[in-house]
This record gives sequence, structure tokens and C-alpha cells, in this order.
Amino acid sequence: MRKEDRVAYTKRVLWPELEDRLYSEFIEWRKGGRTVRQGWFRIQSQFQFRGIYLEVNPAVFRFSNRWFRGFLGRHKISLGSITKKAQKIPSDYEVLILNWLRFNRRDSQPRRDRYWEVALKRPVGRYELSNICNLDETPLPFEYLEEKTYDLIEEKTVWVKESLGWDKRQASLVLCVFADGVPRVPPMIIFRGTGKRLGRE
Amino acid sequence: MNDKLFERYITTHLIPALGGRPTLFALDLMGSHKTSAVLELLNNSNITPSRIPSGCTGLVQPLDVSINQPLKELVRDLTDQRIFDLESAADFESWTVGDRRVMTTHCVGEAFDQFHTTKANLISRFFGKTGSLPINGSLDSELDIKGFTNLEIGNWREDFVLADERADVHEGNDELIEFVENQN
Repeated sequence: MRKEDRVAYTKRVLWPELEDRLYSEFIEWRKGGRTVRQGWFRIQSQFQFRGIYLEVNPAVFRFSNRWFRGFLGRHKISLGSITKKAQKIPSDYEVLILNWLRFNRRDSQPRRDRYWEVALKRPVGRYELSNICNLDETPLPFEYLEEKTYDLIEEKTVWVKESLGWDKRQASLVLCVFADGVPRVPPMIIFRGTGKRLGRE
Repeated sequence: MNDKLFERYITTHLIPALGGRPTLFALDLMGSHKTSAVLELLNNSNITPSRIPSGCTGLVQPLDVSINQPLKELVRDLTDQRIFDLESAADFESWTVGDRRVMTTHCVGEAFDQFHTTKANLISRFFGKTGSLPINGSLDSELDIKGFTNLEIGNWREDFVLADERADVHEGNDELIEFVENQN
């Protein structure tokens, strides 16, 4: 496409009123946190078209891909997958997190009779940093465990993976870390199906 | 991890590491973590479980926020190196699943040690960023939770009221696609 063509392509707006209306509807829907997909634009645009251009035969407006792409480009709307929404945190989370932070703070308060003694010595409250810890279990992908080095088991591995699902094949890793960064509890790996535990060392 | 294993883990590994002092134990409580036997065990050892709200572990759990991923990368590096060394050896024949498991166990242990040797201050910094801060509130500005700005703990004596905390949080469906407005 030559440069002039591209400019003409984005600048030529056939139905400006429709686009404005459609865009403001879109913003409203998104503000309400609702999902908007292509079908929504199709239905909305046809509906709005009838309302705006009373004298025009609605069949004139075709929801073509070309028009739709142009519309999205002109209004800087893009297709995003919902997973990216994680960057936009729902306000519900804020309440959950604040409650959690408050629970921790409340629970960390020194006993009343020793308040100052403790508060001066240990700014984070009645727990020492060596006694604040976090435990979690996460999957350890099985590529760590069974690289495609051997060909004989290869076929079988794939078959097993399909029939049993990832959790049967994956090992999981249990970690516990302390707020002072000192390792006190060794990591634990849980292998599925062996009935045997291999802790470190 | 089932409840029996979890009990054993707490008894043989966690409790001896705590020196008999009161402990704040932040975790994502799963079914197997909250059986009455487990809760009693924690209670008797002066361990307060602090349940990380569901769906929020990626935001406030130090392990998720800062440790799991780099640690697993380190495990991968060490594993790759070990595999390379072993397969280069003249007498190498083939791997069994058991061999792999033993090797991975070693590498995880080594990675865990290395990580703590080189990144200890990173770990404690992340505990601070996600809420383990002085109780007088003087450093609350250090709170740094992804997606939130100017978060304030505020009046910690009270909780916000929630009918059912799971009711309002939707699990994202990865397969849905939507249109979003670009800011730029």
C-alpha cells in the first residue's frame, strides 16, 4: 500500500455520526467492566445506524472488515485478551488485600502489658523477622525431570501425559521462606505416584 | 500436598526452625491445609496462619511476587548444566526417571541455597513491600503491590465487611477475547 493510500484509507470516514455514537457506547460499556467483542460492534452499529440515518436504506451500511478495521484504527481500539486484564486490578481485590494487611498488622501488635518493650525493640511487632514466613506449593514442570533425551520412552510419555493430565506427571515444589532471608526449612519436592518422599539431603 | 504430608512437613521441618517463638505463617490455605489436625498443630506451636486471599497470591505473596520464578530459572540452569556434564562423560549410558528425580532434587537444593546466599536481602525487601512493615505505620509508604498506588493500611482495627469474599472475584477465562481502548 502506498503512503497516500493509507492516509486516505484512515481519513475517509463514511459515517462520522455513527462512529462517534458507536465509540461513546463502547466507552460506556467498557466503563461498566463489560466485555466487548466483534459481535457487539456489529449489532450496535446496525442498530445505531437506523437511529441516526433515517433517510438512508440500512442495507447501505455493511459491517465490512475493512470498515471495522478502519473504525478500530481511527479510535485507537485494539483487541486484547482478557488475561491482560490482570494489569488492571479489580477493585474487589483491594478490599481483600487491605483486609489481609490489616489482619497481619492487628495480629502483630504486641501484648498490651509489654507494648513499649516490644515496640521499641522490634518495629514489626510481636513477631521477629525470623518468625514471619511464607509457604507455597507450585508445580515443577516435568521437563526438568524427563528431558527428551531418550527416544524409547518418548511415545509412552506422550500417551501417559494425555491420559493422566499434568498434575499426575508434574512434581510440585514446596517452599518456605522467612522475612529475614535466612533459609531454615529445606525445599521439598513431591513426586506424584511413587508414594515416597525425597526431601533435600 | 495432602494433609498427612502437610502435618509431617510442619512437625519435622517447620516447627524445629521456629525456636519456640510465636510465628506468623502466611500461606494460601488449600483444603488439605485447614483440617482440624493441622490447625490444632499450628495453634499448639504458637503459629498464626495468615490466609492469603484467594486470587491475590500473585500480588501479595512474597514467594509468587519475587522468588518462585527466578528460583525455577536457577533450577533450570543448574539442571541443564548437570545434564550436559553427565552426558558428556565417557561412561554415560542412559537416564532413568529415578536418576532424573535424584538429580532434580539436588539441583533444587543447590538453587535454594544459592538463592538465599545471593538474594537474601531481596527476599526480606519483598516481605516489606507486601506488608511486613513496622506496626507504627511509619514505613507504610513502602507498600508496593502491583496494580495499586497509594495503598494505605488505614485503620487496622477494623476489617472491611464482606459477605462472601469469593463472591465478587471472578476467575479470568483465558479464552475470552475483548476489545479495549488504547490509552496512547
